Amino acid sequence: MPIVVNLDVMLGKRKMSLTELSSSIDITLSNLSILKSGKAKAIRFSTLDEICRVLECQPGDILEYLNPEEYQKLMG
Amino acid sequence: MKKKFRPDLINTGVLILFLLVIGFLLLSIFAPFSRKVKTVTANAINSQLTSDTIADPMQLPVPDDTSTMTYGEFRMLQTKQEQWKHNRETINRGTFGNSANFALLGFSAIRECDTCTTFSFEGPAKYYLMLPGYKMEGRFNKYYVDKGRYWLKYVVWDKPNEGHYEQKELPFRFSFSDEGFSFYAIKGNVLIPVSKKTYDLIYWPIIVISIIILIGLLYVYFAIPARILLHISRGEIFTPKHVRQLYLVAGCMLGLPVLIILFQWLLKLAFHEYITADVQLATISTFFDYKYLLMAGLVFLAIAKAFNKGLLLQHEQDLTV
Repeated sequence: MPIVVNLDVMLGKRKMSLTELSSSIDITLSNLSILKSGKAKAIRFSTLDEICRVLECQPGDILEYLNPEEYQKLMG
Repeated sequence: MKKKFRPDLINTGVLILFLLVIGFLLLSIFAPFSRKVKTVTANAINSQLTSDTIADPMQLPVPDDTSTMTYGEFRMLQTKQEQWKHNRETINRGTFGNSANFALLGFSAIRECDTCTTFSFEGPAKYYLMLPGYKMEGRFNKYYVDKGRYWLKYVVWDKPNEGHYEQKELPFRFSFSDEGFSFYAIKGNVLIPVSKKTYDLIYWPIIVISIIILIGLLYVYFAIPARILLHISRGEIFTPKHVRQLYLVAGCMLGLPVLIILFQWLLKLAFHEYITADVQLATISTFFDYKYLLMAGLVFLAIAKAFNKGLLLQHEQDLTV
């Protein structure tokens, strides 16, 4: 699925670790790791809401749609 | 694109099924009366018979005048007669002798006794290889044992509706099972005579194989479902192991009858020299013997498919953040 999660980019911009984000919102570190690594199959609106609130960003800053060629190139 | 529901097709199917059932019922009612058989021409029929069939001529003598008997006495005589007949048939079937068999084949040692009506007798044993799942051809044919030889009374049709009996010797013994009529046939076992040496050699391996198969089936049909239930009660529901095991149980339940029928055909091929055209494999009847197993297999297959879907949903749920 050519949708990539740019959570690590946003975390870098906000100079925040995954553990800090996990403690700020009510989501476990393992679930956030799944989201960050791109293994997640779905994301709840409530999760997106929490992340966007803490990182002060838009959902589009976290999720990005790539065309299949670009996605393939990115994923190797 | 969604498939369209076609009620007209369903209705036609139900109508055809209904007509088939009605046709089958009419056939079963009228077919037995369509032909007549004259009296038997063979002489040996009137001699002392050892028959596995219901028409056992050896019965307790019934007084000519039963009108003086009380109902209780008459009933006792009837019961004794039935018991006597049952005992004789049991002896003839080899149930009383040593017998080791499973659904595919077996070995049997039968103590023949033309006059015995109780189980306590001494007699020479005969040894047989037992091939289950056969039926006698011909609705009017009668099989019997006479002085250690196996005979078949068969009908020769003189006219379309009339015929007479003739007899011939068979190279095997036939043992009717208790199941009664099923699809126009009394099912039974073909018993091919073997030597005592062969019997002794294969009797115990057959018992061991039977026990192993029994344990295997008990494990698949009871232990695995019981373990799955135990895991479900612990909260482990949609796991790949459960899906695999449920497919295994369903496969074994649905595959066993097919495997048995296939094996029976292979055995028939292997022993084609002994098995004459007077007996045929009762394949449909054998298949329907396992109807409850097949139903259970279908239920398990449905459950396995539901668990597979559940596993996919569970996986998706696990990866939903």
